[in-house]
Amino acid sequence: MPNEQQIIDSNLSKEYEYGFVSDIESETLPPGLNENIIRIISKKKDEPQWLLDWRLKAFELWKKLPEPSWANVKYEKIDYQAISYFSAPKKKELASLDEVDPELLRTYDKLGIPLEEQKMLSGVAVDAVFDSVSVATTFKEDLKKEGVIFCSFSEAVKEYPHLVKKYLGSVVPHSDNYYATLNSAVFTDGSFVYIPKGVRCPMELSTYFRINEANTGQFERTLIIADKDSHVSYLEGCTAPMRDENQLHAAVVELVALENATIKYSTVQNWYPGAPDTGLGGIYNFVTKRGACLGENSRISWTQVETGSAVTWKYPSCILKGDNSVGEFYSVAVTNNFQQADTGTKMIHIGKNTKSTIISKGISAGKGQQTYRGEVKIMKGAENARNFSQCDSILIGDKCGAHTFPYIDVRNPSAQMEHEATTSNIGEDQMFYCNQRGISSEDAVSMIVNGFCKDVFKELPMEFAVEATKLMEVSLEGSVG
Amino acid sequence: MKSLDFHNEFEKIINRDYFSKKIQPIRKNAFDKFSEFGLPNKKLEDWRFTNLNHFLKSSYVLSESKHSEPLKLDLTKFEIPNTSTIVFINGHFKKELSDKIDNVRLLSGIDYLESKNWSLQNPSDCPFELLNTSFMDSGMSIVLEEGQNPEKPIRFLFIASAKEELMISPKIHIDCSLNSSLTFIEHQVGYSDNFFMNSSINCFLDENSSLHHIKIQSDSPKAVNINRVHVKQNKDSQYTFFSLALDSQLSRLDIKNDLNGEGADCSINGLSLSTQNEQLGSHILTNHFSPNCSSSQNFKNILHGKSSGIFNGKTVVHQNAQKTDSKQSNKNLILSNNAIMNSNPQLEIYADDVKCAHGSTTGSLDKDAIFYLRSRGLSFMNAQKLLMEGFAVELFDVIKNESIKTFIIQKFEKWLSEKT
Repeated sequence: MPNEQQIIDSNLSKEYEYGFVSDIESETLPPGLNENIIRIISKKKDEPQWLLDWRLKAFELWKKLPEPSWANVKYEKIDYQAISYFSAPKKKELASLDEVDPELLRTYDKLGIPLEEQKMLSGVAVDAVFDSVSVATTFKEDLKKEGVIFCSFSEAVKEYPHLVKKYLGSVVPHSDNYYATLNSAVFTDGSFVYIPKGVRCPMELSTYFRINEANTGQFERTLIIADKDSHVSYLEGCTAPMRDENQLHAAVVELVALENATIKYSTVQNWYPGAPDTGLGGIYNFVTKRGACLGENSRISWTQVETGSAVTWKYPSCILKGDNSVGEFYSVAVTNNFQQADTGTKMIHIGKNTKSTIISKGISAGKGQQTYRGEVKIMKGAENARNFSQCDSILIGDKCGAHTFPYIDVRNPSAQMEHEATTSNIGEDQMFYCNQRGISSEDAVSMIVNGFCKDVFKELPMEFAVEATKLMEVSLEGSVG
Repeated sequence: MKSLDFHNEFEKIINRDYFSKKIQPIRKNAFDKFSEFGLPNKKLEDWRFTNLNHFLKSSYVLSESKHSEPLKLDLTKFEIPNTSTIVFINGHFKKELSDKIDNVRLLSGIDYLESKNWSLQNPSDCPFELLNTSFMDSGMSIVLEEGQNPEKPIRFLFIASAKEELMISPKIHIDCSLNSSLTFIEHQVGYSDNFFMNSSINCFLDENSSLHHIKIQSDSPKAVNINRVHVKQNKDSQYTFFSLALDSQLSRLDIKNDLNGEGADCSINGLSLSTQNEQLGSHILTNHFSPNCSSSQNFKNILHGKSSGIFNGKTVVHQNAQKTDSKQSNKNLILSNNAIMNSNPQLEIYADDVKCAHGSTTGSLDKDAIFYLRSRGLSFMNAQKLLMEGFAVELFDVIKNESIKTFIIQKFEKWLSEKT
């Protein structure tokens, strides 16, 4: 039986399983960012004038904004002029899966998410985003019957401009922050979901993001609107091929929940974390995710499992504006090797009787550095607001770090606010207990880490829970002693 | 007071001939740096929640020798039995009012600097520390010899009492040598309408020494009180801190604690009580540099009126500080619609074999608990009082000296009866 150190070494040195490059011809703009590029993107996507104006307004602002540096992460400065801002697979407008480039299908096969199988077995509608343009959308017809709109963002701009115009930028304005502003100027595509009044979406909606083209930053824009009394669960999952140059992903996700509506947004993120021995080449994940509970009794729930990316810097947030609205944040983040993560959430309580729950579990191994940074703000009018936060970290190995920076701002005496956090390693006594009962060190660690994450995993939809557990095994199992 | 306004006062202090020439370059160096940086603003993370408006609007002058006579004085009010007291009026040492302390080496600021070859023990770029170094004009230093253990606690009683808006900048050093121990009380009292107390306390605890540091602050409602405590601890030393903060328009306490030797332990505690529109801030940084150290931070705020409270506690566990045991707790009661609490309990951990936990709660008095008490015949006032008392009282347990504990509990009870 290998000893603990060997297990640690072998697992820490495990190569990224999903590293490969699909050979598909793609139409890519030359690298660089200027007004002209934005006009070309807009023209290629056949966009109306108002959207172009909006992009240009964001770009003007972006040029003036300073790049933020407050996060507890270190990375090489990004050269925004070296990024190509548009890349689309050449074949477009496919009616069925048969027409999809076989190479592309193989890519999904390697990821273990064959489109056809999922279609048949899991009943999940998959809007596959390959680089920046949606190639195939399944189950569209089924959804149409219920009146659910689930399409690519560019399609939505053409088909449902009134909805897009009304809600685009309403939660994350174009001036929100450096990366959101950049995204507003250059976003290429993304997903759009609208759930009409009183509809409970019949299936889990899912998008697989995939960064494929070298040197292409992904600037996705997702907009989900849940009208009165509706319910939707949305899944997002990512993997990316091996790269030597850092790739920037600056997506924006906006959620709008009206009266009595519920949005559940789940993410499993497993982008390329960089070469294991140097940390070079991984993805920079600087995403702005925010949901607004506008109506009474509305509910937004974020669940995320973050195992990939070289640098993760994101704070899925909830603005609890409607009375009795609820915000939830469940997160498991793993940093191994040279990965860094500065993640957490913001809960802004504005309405009366608003509630929020934050459960954050951090696992840091190798030379990983992890930060939980969260803000809970209870505004003056938020009578009887309630928050519970729990942020726990496990440290594995003596070169990693785990940090907790909660910001708690209370302006109403009727608020009840609790925060607790612990940081520890896996106890020698825990390991001993397991070993004593015949459980190998590797299994014991896997068991303990899984138990540690259970609070979050149980919030994931069935399909994701399986994937998440598998991911945890790949990323961590046995890398501890 | 804007940063520019300090220039006049600086001219004055640099021309005072009764200070040693050796001190002038230290002052000048600090003031040049201060002029370069200026006062902190809200854009600095560390000063994000501190509102300096009142400070900026006031204009403070140096405390001159004419200010050494107080306007009114009733020392009996501040008496703590069984302590040796040293009295400072507006920053000036008053020998005739102070107790005589035998066997303990007490040095003036200049003598202390001279003993350290005219170098500062804890140079810092914090703007208020630079101001303190530029204007240091009062305070005293305590140097304990090996194994020394003064029987009575030593108390520095600072009384501010003048017509003018004075700026008082004490610099205090406490050096505890091997195996020594001391209870030190820093007692600040304000009679003046408005004054600016900018103190800097530097403690050094050598191997196996212990220091109990108690700070009692009850100022006039317009006072600005900015205090820094910097503690360096060697092997197996023990530092306990307790602060009771009342009143003052702006009160900010910065404690930095470096655990440099294995087995060192520190416990930092504080209770801040507000009545109207105070701003009470506690900023604690504990650095674990060595293995097997333990630390705890425990702060509570009770906020009334338009007051605001800040807790900014940070514990950093550096890479070789294995087997660290650290706790952080911040609990706050908000009792008015206009009070604000900012709580940031932070952990930064670079070592794996550690136990670190923190917790923070903010809320008002539990309605069920009040109902329970009222249903058993207590008046609403008394029920509130009992709950507040229960909330705070646990903190007083860290004070080992009974007479000091009694004094502090009396202060708290007085505040409680005025408030309910």
